[in-house]
Amino acid sequence: MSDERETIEEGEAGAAAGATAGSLAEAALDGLRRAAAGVETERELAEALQRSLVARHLPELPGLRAAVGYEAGGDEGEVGGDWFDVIPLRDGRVGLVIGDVVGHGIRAAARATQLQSALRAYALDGVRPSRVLEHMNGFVRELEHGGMATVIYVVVAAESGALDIASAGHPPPILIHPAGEVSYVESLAGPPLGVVQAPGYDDSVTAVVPGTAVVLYSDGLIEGPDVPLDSGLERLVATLGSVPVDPEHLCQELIASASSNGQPRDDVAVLIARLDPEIDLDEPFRLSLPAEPGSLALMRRSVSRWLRRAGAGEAEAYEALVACGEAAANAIAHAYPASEASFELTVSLEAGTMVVVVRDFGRWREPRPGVQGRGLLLMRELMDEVEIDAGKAGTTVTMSRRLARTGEGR
Amino acid sequence: MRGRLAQLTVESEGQVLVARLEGEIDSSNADEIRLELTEQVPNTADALVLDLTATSYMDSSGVQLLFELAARLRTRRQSLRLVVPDNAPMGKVLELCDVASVVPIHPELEAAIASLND
Repeated sequence: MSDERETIEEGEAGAAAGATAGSLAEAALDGLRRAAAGVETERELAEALQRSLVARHLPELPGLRAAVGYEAGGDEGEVGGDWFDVIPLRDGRVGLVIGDVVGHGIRAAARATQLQSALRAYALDGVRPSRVLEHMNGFVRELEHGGMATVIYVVVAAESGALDIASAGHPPPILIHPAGEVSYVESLAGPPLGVVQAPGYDDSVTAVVPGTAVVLYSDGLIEGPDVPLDSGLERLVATLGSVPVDPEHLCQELIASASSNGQPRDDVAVLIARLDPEIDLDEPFRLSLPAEPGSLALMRRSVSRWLRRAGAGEAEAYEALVACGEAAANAIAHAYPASEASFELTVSLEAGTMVVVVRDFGRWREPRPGVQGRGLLLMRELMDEVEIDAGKAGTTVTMSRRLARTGEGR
Repeated sequence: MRGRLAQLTVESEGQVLVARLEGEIDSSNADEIRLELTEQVPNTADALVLDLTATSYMDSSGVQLLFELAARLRTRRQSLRLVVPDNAPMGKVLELCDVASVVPIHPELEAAIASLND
């Protein structure tokens, strides 16, 4: 029996040639069973796709803390086409994305995965948000049954607080200011993706202060409650009572309040990115980053911010930055290959002296003359003191440099 | 407003190529920039002037790039000059690594180009 079924499954030609009436009935029944299972499989597949869209592990972002929340909506609990993304760009800025493909189910979820990948690729090219959306519109128009989607793309420069925003028919971002007040960002929204041949999108540029949170969301969040989103959010922030806001906590609360009257009608997706509050020089400043060269620019953004806060002059800030870069590059070179290794950097101000500690968890290797030898030379020459402690569990580099002038009356 | 860490623009002034390097060089992009530079300098060019005026960061991986570029151009019998303004923060890094021993450094582009005609 099992042999016969295999034959049938191999193809119609085999079935016609060798099957008896009994085994044909068996095959028809089998087909029905598979079709029934298919409904379940399709839902599972759609859910798996949706999970891959919204359950992305968020990267470490110096200068910025981000959190995301998602809740499937609809009576059937059917997944929709919401997606979000957090994209560290090569120049140290961070791209934030929320998009919403019109429709539900496996098609919308599959289309959302395509749009997520495409936007990521365009974003990594480093072009302005308006250009990214123009490329995206072309991409959607090229697809067969491209459909329609709204999306908002925000590039955040955590260092300066500059936000560069472009929107394709998506609701505007909300800002939660450090003291807790809430406002919309006035931004120009162009048409949704896929609607017109060659829409022109605009960049809206705005600047925010340290500690400000940027909230992106899908319209599921607005359709639910009867209160306008900004006042609802302001009240929520006030009840949480923690300012500047904690992104993870606020995301959970927002999702919870959206589904408080049962399941939301539409999917709800929220992305909150909060710029780090002003650096406190009384506390050590800590960073933990993946041990890969791409982390170096992110490390420099954070350490520059610290140096500026500490009142360092241009030349000494540059030189301290190079020393940190060399120590970090060594830590990255020592990392065990093919592991999810990380390194840590701590900067503190002790009586007018900058103290940097860089730790890795790999093994110290004597630098080869040339590249690495030069790195070590630069560390020693640019800092007052450098100590290297190479242990079995990892290497710790401790460097210090007296700053010529330090801020805050120190 | 590019998302890339560094941006290279190459223009020719007669037989001299002028490459402007804008942004930051570290070990994440030094190899890529070196490749881009050597690809953009044809064998027929007499000389390359690398303008680092707009280079906001460079560490030992950038210095290594300069040494490798100098060696490469030397085998092709092409001259190399660097432009680094007098007060540039990277000056000390270049000095400590003795970059001037392999490439003449000028504070201004005009002076660098003029030095090739001497």
